[in-house]
Amino acid sequence: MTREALLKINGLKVSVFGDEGEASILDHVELELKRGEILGVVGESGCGKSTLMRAILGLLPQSAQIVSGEILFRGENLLSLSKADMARRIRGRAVGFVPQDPFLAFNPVFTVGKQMMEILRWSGIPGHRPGGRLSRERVRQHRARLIEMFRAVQIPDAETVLDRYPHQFSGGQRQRILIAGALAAQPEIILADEPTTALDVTTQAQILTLLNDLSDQFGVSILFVTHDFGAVAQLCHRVSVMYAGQTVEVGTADHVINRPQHPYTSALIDCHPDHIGDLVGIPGQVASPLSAPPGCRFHPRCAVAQARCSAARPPLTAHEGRAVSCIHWAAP
Amino acid sequence: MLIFKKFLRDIPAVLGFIIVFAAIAIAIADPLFIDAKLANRPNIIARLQPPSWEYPFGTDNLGRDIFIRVILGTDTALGIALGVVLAAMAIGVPLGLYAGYSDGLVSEVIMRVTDVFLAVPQLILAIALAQVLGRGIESAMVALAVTYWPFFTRTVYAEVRRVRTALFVEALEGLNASRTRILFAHVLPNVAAPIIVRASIGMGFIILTAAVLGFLGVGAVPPSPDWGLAIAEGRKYLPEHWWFATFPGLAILVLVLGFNLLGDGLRDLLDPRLRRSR
Amino acid sequence: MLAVEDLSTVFGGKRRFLAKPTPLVRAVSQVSFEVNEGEALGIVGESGCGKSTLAKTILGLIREASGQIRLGGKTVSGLDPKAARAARGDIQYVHQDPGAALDPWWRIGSTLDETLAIHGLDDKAERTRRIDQMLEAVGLDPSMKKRYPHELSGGQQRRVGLARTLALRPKVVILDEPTSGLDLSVQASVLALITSLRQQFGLTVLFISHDLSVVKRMCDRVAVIYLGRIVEIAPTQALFGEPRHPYTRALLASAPRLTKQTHPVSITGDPPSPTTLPPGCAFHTRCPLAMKTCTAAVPPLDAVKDQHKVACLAAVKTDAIPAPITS
Repeated sequence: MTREALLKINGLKVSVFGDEGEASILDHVELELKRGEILGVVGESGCGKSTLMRAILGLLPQSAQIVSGEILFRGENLLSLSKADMARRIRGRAVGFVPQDPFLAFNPVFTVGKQMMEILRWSGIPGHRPGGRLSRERVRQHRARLIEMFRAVQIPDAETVLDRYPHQFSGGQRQRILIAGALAAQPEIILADEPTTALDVTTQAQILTLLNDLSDQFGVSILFVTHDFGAVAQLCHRVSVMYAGQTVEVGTADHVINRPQHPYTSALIDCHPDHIGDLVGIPGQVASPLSAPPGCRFHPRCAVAQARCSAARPPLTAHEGRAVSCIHWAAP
Repeated sequence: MLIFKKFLRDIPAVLGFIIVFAAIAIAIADPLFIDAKLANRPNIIARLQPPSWEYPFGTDNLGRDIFIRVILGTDTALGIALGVVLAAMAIGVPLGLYAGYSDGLVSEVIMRVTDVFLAVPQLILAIALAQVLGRGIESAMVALAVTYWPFFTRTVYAEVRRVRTALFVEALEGLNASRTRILFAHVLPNVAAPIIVRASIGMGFIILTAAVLGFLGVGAVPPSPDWGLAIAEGRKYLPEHWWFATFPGLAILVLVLGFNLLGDGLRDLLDPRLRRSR
Repeated sequence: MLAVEDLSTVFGGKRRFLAKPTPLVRAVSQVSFEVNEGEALGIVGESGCGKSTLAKTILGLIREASGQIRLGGKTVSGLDPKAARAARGDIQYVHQDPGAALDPWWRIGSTLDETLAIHGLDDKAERTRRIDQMLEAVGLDPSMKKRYPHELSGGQQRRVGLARTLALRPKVVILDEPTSGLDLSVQASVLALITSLRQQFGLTVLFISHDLSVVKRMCDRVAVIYLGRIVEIAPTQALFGEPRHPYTRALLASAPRLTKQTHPVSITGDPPSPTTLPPGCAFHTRCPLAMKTCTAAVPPLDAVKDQHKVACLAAVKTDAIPAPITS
């Protein structure tokens, strides 16, 4: 797979400065999303995946500061764009977003149509500039586009969806509607933030299949943020594992899951109930970003840690599509 | 300590706290400096003197020092408010707890009676009741307490309804804990914050209403140094002897404002959502 | 140890004064199973299938509409909730979110102490001793007693929940989604703890979960519930090895596994609303094997092999359906 990189993040460091000092949320995140690719970003709570997602969308809270690094979208650094540019060209337009909880994402008192049209008003549809006055003609085109998208995500009775209220849809259908909304502006990337976590297993499987089909059909790249290696195994081409704000391992989903190289990845996969053998968990707790350990942040919990692990963060060295940030990883 | 720091950052709330604290300090300390009997004694020679160094707030129609009477009025105002709020809490909180936690006829009756009370303007009800009970501070207090408890019942009821479905209450029911234990040891502390806020704002509200009762002549009896009474008498001397009604009025304004600012500050401080993020 | 026979729970259906009658919801219908001493029975189903209602009915928090519950040979059903809870003191429950099951204003130690006091343990020293012993058993430091619930991590809250329940020395423990919302590494340690506690105290466990991988690991037998009814119940090996009911097979096929599956989705659509259950087998609207007879009557839960029972007309007829998963 030697496709061009659509989104590339180099050495991103983000800190939050508050009453209690500097909290280093992201420390050297590396990421590369190729065109048409589905990349999984996996990590447990506190690994910084939601901050990473906000950084890409330009929605970091006021208290957060980008210490260093760049987010390149088609070669252009998103971090140097103005707020207005982010809103007009990137967020919702080139980068669509699918939120985590389809039950909370809708306002229950408005119809689905009213809410989706509002989104399209700001993100636009292919061939049109977003924003501005909504003419009757424009509204008609938007409706048609949404209905087309509802068909693409296989919601029954796509024509009537816009006039119904959110509570008339199940969780799985709501998630489909949100995906349709994210797709309507014809984005090049879709950020999906744990889109299956709030759903039941059978629905989860349906959404995963849908995302896979849509990626093929529309050629859209998907950044799939999750904590679930099972979902990664079903959906993603490649996966990037994060721990406490650091990217620790990158590789194809198959390689990372079956032959993990970083001690954290390997310990995490051993925690999956499907894993054969005893479940033990990982000793200790994720370090607070306020007092992150120096060097490799996993070293206090690592079974094979050495003295030099706390000296400096091991660089993420790549070899044949695999990159690992660990002193034990020797690229052959 | 973080909670203390957060409170200090809320300037209106700190202002409210200072006002309330000062009023309480004055009410406690004034008998040490002022002889109440002397303050009630008429002094016809010095009647209706404008504010001066000798009489900072001027004198009234009987030549009494308004400054001293405003200070003594703090006792009356705070005393009435505290008594009324405590009495209303004593009636309203248990009723709200019970009605919120249980379903059934009794709970329904409590809440409908509450609704009836809340549907009638509290002031009119209090005036009518005070009229029936006869003039005097005590009857004014009874009238206010009897008309104010539904506000507590309503607040507590709504909060208990919310807490009742919380998992920890369900867990206690699962352990077969007694209803008294659940209500008083668990539900009450969890609904304490809104009760405290309601009490603080209620103090201000009662001071205002008590002053209105005094003004209308169904509250305090002369010669007691009641602010409402003082405004009622001072009104006749407006506008040329403006200080007579103005200074008691300002006292009411400042103290009511103080309680309201403090209440709002406490509301922000005790908001469970903010508390959790601490 | 625990036997449930023909248990049904209904909600609503009552006429209210000056209001529309609430719709009748059959949350649990004719559920029967037995759990032997020391055994772990998994109860699996999707959200809204009635598994939590079943747990609360067994616990006695909700009154059953019909059916029998026997605990250690004694019938403990047919009582009003207060009496039912008292009769079922040997059954205890660990909440899905044990953090929320702790009063936010009470320290952990006080909550644990209160739990024992409610159960009539009047000796303060004995209570303290038992609490310390339980905290140690769940792998928590005694200093935890001074903490407030919000100061604990998700994993620690679960441990406190387990300690609270086990301190009462129950015979049957109902674990409601004991690992939902936990990170994988924390989940693994909580599961390991549950396994060791089971061995240590010889607990009989009802393990309610939506996660098949977890149930497979933790349980001896598994019951699959769809819209309030058991559709299949079998020893874990048999259920995962030779699932008979089409719904069970769909669930197994949908579960996100570490190995990539070739045919991930086998059923479509969403479960129908429990207020308007389809006639006959409730699954026939989504079932790939549905026949005309499926809509006629609810298929009985029949044994296909010694301990393996299935409520499906198609599954009983064809004895050997190829299992969709080889694991």
